[in-house]
Amino acid sequence: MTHTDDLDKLFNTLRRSEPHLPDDGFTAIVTARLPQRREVPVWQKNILVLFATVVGCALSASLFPLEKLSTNELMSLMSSLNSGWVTLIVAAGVIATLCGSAIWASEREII
Amino acid sequence: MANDDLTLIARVLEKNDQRAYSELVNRYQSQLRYSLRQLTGWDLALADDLAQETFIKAFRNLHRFRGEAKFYTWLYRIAYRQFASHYRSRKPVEALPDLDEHHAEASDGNASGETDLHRDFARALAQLPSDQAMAIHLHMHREYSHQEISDIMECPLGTVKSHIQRGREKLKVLLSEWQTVATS
Repeated sequence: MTHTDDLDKLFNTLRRSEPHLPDDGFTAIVTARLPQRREVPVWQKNILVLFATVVGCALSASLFPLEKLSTNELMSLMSSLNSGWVTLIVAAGVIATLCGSAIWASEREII
Repeated sequence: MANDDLTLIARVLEKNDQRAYSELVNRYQSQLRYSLRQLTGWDLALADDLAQETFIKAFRNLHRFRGEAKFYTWLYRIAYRQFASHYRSRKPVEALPDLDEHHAEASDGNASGETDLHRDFARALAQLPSDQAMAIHLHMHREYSHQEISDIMECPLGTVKSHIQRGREKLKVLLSEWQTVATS
């Protein structure tokens, strides 16, 4: 019999006799150390997003220097759209995308 | 009927269900802790520390688990990184002072013989470079294929085969007394 066979035999013995280690609180220790995530219900998330959006829009509207921009090319471009609701939809889309990205990122602990 | 791994993982990811994760930990703690005991020279405290870190890291990165491999195989990949990282920062075990003593007890055929075999194997493995020890353990104890080990250790197939071959040669010498017992 070769040494290689002997080693295989030893490993067979090792596999067969591997003990099942009792948990002895190991799982509890791991569970206690898991990073806690604050669970926010979906309806609360939606309200938060809506609230943040409204506040953001209100702030933007109040602080936006419309009078300074009234003569520049940006305003002319915006006026060329000739429909305020299009701008509003675009702005809402951008804000919703940003909010969605923020929620997505926070759920995955990226931020 | 026990939930399968993927169901438990889905519960963790979708509902942040920590009980589901506890079930996974409980399911695999014995195998992983035993493997780490083998790789750390039967250092119980160190093995448990590494196992804890492995499970916590796995929890943090669970959204990256794609289900292409078994959960336990994926867990091993994390454990290997933890182990290799630890191994780089420490000196290898210097000697096997009482291998012969354990062998003498084992040859009497008493109940502690098998326990000694596990401990002596661990001590022998701990004297190998970490890559060789891991490859040997995964292949000869856990019976993973070369390809699976290559995936776990993220190294080429040829390197895995080389680790196993070299590790076997060293183990033959380190465990020569036990091999005599095995054949007698």
